[in-house]
Amino acid sequence: MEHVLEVKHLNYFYPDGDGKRIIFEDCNISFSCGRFYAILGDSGSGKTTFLSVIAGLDKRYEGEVIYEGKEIKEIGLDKYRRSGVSMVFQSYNLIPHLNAIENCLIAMDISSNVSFLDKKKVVELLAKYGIDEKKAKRKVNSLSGGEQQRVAIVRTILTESKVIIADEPTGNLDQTASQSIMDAFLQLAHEEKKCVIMVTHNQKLAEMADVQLMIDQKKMISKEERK
Amino acid sequence: MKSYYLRNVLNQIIKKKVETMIIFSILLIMSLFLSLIHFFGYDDSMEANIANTLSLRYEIGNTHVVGPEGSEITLYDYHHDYFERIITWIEEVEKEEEIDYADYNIQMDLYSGYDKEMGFLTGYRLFGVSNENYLLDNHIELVEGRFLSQEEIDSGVPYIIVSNETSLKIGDHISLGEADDENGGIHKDITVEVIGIYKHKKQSIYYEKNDSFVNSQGVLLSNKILHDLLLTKVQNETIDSYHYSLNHICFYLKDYQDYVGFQDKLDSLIRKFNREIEALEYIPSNLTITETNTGSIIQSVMRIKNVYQVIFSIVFIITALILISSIYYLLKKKSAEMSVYYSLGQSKLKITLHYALAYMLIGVVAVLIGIAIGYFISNQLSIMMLKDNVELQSELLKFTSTTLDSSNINDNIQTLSFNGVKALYAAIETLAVVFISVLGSMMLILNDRILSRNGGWN
Repeated sequence: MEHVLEVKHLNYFYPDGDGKRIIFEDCNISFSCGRFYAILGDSGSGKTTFLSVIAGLDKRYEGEVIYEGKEIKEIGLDKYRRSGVSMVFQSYNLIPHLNAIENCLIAMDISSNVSFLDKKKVVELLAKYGIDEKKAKRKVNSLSGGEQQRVAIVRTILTESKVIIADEPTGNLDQTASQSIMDAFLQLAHEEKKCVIMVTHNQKLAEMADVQLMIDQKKMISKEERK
Repeated sequence: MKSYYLRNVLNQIIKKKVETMIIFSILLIMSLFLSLIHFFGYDDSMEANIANTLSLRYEIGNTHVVGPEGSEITLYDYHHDYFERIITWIEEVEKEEEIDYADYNIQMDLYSGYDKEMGFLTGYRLFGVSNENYLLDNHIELVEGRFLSQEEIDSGVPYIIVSNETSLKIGDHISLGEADDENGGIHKDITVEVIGIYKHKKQSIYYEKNDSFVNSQGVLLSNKILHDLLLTKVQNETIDSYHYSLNHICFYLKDYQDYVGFQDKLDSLIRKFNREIEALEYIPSNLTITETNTGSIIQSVMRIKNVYQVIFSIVFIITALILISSIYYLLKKKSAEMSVYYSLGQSKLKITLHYALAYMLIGVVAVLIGIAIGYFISNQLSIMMLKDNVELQSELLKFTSTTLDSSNINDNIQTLSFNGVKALYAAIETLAVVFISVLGSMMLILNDRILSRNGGWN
């Protein structure tokens, strides 16, 4: 299977007094479309740092992060974030003073996805994920956590990026809402053929993923592969 | 809408009402004080206008020439010498680089006029001019006909301009002469032709209701005619100061901002002149040229304005600091929001422009309103300042028998303060503070670590 995202010889450290705290040392890992990856790890193990690097938010790394055969710094980190990768956060990270539709339209505008700059289609997609038009026109911070997270997922779909990165997306949600979000990710991976990479503390949720990864001894290792 | 960027900027303003009102209020105050600084400060057109309104840069006089009591010197010698010396001195001062032009008035009182239709007229006051601009610029306006050209003034063509309160018309010829009370008639001296009819500008400090050298019976003509007339007469007759005087010696500066600097120079020139006069034994030493107090109106106004300017500057700086702090605080609170844009792939530049544009739009509205209010306040303060000074100075001017009529000064000041360029400066500076504040704040806020942290990665 062709890799959409590859991490090669990743080295990353934080300055720590006079010395440095190494987070990753010669870390290598690859991600493919159509797969749902779950990354597990203890607090402070480097999960967030890893996501920051592959999301193009943190450029202070050594080694290579290759998206569709090209180093993301060469692509341009802004451009990479615009069109290659999209993110779902634990705290949803929606623009609070806007409604769900406007949040989606902004994301589409930034990603230059003109084919989708159609309010009607946004409303339809939101409805597909359980956000009816009435709710879609309310300020997002008046929606429930699960609904906000679904708006965030719809936003990632609309940007048409191949890689979806999620950081504890169910961290603030109850079990039912969490399940619906996990279903959405699985659908994105298996039906929309997206590469979904999720960080979680929840072993049960991680087991729903196609691939479970762990950070161990400054490297990313595959725990098991189901399929 | 194809691009959502601008719409989102507007959303920022409309949907964040509290924030918008905070920025708007601060900017309104700031632009108000900045506009006041400009109106009262760097561009000095207001002082120029005040100066022009008062028709005064320097005035020396009122030098009524009084013959020395018990002097052995003949009045002819005295008058002749004194007039000649003063006029020569004026011409010398006029050559100074700061001076645009000088003017003085040889004045002959108690003259009578005669014309065929009206018969015997009395009470004319002949008022000499040396410059074609002086009176028209400052004291009178033509109702009909024309004023004397500089060439006519210099060569002494017998043309006169008379008040519209007389019955004289353009083209009338009248004979002017000194009243001859003993013989019940007039001694004809000169025949002149009326070429213009004037009326007073009421805001002129020379406008006097009762007694004026440019009063309702004032006759304006070339100084040269009066000078020649004087020289002719004094050779044969006794004259006294009630009939002849040299008044209102004025120096007009090319740039009124030289006022303070040139004052020292003029003082020195006056002292020099006085020393020369005193050295002449037959001239009484108490005859001196002194500067009148009228010129200090401008200085006084400028002093008050400087105080205002300092106050406004301090308030502006404080407001600007509050604005900068507020913008930084508000933007820092938005770092989470910025991280959303950043994670969606928006460049730092575009994010910066997004907030800069939003604040600038608020700024434009606030600045326009602030400047309008500043314009209104500056006008009111100008009027207040000038009224105070006019009242003060009118007291000081009493010795010259001159009364300030300030009623119309206000009208002039109403139109003088607003200036498009000054308003533009104020607007640009206020908006520049906004832009720089946003830019500086964003430079501090938009770093990868903060964006990553607020993006929810930790």
